[in-house]
Amino acid sequence: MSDATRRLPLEGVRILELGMVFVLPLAVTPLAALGADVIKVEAASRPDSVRWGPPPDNRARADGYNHGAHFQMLNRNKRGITLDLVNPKGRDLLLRLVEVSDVVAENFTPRVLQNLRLTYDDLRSVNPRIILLSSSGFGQSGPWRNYRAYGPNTEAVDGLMHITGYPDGPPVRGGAGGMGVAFTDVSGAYYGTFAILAALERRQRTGEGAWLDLSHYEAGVATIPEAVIDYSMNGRIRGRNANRDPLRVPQGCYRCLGRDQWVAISIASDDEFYRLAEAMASPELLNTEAFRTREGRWEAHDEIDRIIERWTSARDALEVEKTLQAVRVGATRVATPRDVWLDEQLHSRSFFELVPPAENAPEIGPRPHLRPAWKMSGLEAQVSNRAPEFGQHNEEVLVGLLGLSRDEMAELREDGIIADTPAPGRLSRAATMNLQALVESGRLLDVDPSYRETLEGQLTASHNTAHHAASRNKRDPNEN
Amino acid sequence: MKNPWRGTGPRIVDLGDGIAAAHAARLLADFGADVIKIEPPATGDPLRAAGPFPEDLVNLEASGMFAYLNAGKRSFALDLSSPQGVGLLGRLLESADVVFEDRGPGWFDSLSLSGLPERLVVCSVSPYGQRGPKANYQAGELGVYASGGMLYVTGDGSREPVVHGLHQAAHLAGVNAASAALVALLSARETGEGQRIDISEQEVVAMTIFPALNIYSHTGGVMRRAPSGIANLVNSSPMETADGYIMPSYAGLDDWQALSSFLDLPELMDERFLTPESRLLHAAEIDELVAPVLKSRSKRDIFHEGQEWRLTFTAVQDGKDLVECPHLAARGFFREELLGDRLTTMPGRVPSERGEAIQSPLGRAPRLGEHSEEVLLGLGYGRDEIAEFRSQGVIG
Repeated sequence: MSDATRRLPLEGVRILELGMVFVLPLAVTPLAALGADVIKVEAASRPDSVRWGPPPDNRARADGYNHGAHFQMLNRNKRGITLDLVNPKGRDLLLRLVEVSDVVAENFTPRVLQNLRLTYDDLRSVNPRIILLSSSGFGQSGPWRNYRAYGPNTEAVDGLMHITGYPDGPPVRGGAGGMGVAFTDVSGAYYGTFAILAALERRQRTGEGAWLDLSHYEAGVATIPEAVIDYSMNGRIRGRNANRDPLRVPQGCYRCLGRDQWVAISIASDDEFYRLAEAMASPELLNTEAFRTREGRWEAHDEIDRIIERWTSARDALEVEKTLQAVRVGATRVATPRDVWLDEQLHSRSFFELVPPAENAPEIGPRPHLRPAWKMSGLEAQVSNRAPEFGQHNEEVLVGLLGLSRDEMAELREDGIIADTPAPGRLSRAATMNLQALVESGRLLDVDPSYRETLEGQLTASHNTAHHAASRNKRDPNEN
Repeated sequence: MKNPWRGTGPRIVDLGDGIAAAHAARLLADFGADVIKIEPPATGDPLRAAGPFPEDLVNLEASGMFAYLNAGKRSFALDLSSPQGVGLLGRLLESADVVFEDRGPGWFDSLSLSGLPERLVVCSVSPYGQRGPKANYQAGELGVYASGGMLYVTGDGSREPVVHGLHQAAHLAGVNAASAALVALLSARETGEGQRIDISEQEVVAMTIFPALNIYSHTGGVMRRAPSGIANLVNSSPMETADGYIMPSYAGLDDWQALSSFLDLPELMDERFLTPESRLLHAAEIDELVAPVLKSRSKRDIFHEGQEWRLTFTAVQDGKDLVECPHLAARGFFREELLGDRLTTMPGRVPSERGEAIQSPLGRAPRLGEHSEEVLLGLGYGRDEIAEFRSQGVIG
């Protein structure tokens, strides 16, 4: 077998990332894991704001911007440089990097990109085959193109929030109560990853680059087609119906033993309904004539829910799941975030991996992170490195890739075009979380004092050392 | 040399019977792939029965979901329950690049196809993946939301959690499948070797709560859905307007002074409210001031005027708002297709494109079996053989 088959699939692809927060970095990070050289460009005055945390063990540190959990998960395997793009010298260096890159991925507003003179035309003038991914809330054109949106705002405007929640209640966002969960940021990122790969494949065939205009609003609408179609076709506005689905009856969440413990049950056929009824040994479910059909069960949904919950509320959620799945009934324990970290199926698939701490911070210890949700039989290994520290690869990239001299680097530092730490005050969020207040307000179930032991124990047991790193340090710095 | 494929793009066989595989194949069609969809001859793909339908009347050629997910594809109606049908599938796969399927763990292998080309990429989507202790568990959208963790943290903390509307996990698994297939395709072109791809919907969902996962792994805090009555503005929850709901600006990241001026509430500049930390402490008092103002205005006004103030307000939009959205119209986002007698609006391409490499827009979705003969002629079968297959019900 030739060396070619051992290579990571995206080796040789270079991506410049001018992005921050969730969507764009998350779109790019799986490509770094698969061997693409991703160079993340920040600036002293514009560090990635997500560097704030959450900090390991909720303890603030002076260099906390290099150890925050979100930044790690979203930026692993990338190289990090700083360039002040407002300065003409900084812009010039960026364009020299564009010359030797395949993709530029950015999430500036259109106005900012124009002011920086880093539009698609500017990039094409130095690299006619460049692929530009512009990622924004509302897209690069249209009357709302300069509107602002964070994840929850996108979820509101794209129609998903309106169809989520209780029929007698207000619209509900995914991850209600905040804490940073932003569903449309992840769905937008999934589309961003696809966009880059699709353009790379097409360029391989046609030789042409592309300007991809990803609107998170549009990505959201694309996943609720029925809401658009039913209004257009029939004038019907779809609303919210909690967990019910007219094609799966009964379906819902049912209380189990313990505090805030639930099982989700979803019945997709009449046969499955009777398997449930038998497993519950319920004469009411088994013998009521009206329950024989889906339509009959839909009419009596409230009553059926009560019967089911009388049964589940005396039982442990995981036991209900196992008992019912054993007879092929769709029951699933509703997992807390801790339950997800401990899920045996996810462990069997090596979905998690332990990432060692930075060499200068061993006390942080290894921390678990997620791999991309793709199992590929031909993938021997993925890259497994930390996220870059602020400006970590300035020398490696600017000297190694562009051939700048030591004197030139010194001058760039003096002029503030490159930096090694963020400018003071640029990361404005409080470094630590008030866990007590969050428990009291009901937004945290509890705080688990043994979380580190819990996770390390689980992950050491299942950690597959075959998925080991192609260490960044071993790269030939002269490799282009 | 005869061949059943059109154009020079990747050659895709869509063997799915749900949303995920169809969506993945559709995404590749958007970028120039030639996609052949395999459907059972008698009933067609199950999404033909899913609707929405004009006036709710079932019509296999007028299903909204089928039309949306299968735009630009060709339909080859093939009975995979017959050995002859499987044999014809094998012949087609000899020249294919990628297969998508979402029929459940082990389904593709159970076809026992032989002579598959080495470079073929087979991409499978299922609730928990092809292997592992839960691989054969029954789980639809609600199940993978439950095991992926998004269900627990969504809804009102004083009652049961709720799932996102419609089919987020299935669509997003399709997007992931398309991405992974492209990686494998690029690799196969270089090495001549294809591979098997295994997408788990549970994993696709789990990634969506990564902030909550990180909070646990770095502080031990276990996030849950907040109880109702929690203050809305500082926690970024939707707030009532005169005619619906608005999603308020994501507190802490917008200009508080601008908010105070926009809402004409100088009281907001009280010292109790001037830092993000103090706003959290006084969240209920902030709501008491802000809620009546928002309730007195329309969601559209607050949305657009708020944005003019550089505040991150967005209206909570419903299906009507989307179809009538001037921004989406200006961007040419929607596609229209005649379904039955209704000219029907549906979402178009994501991402959109600018510049010169733009693909021409996809054509309509195919009628059931519309291209069966064309594909078989391309594989080298004669018209008599094709008629025989049809009379035996092997093709439709």
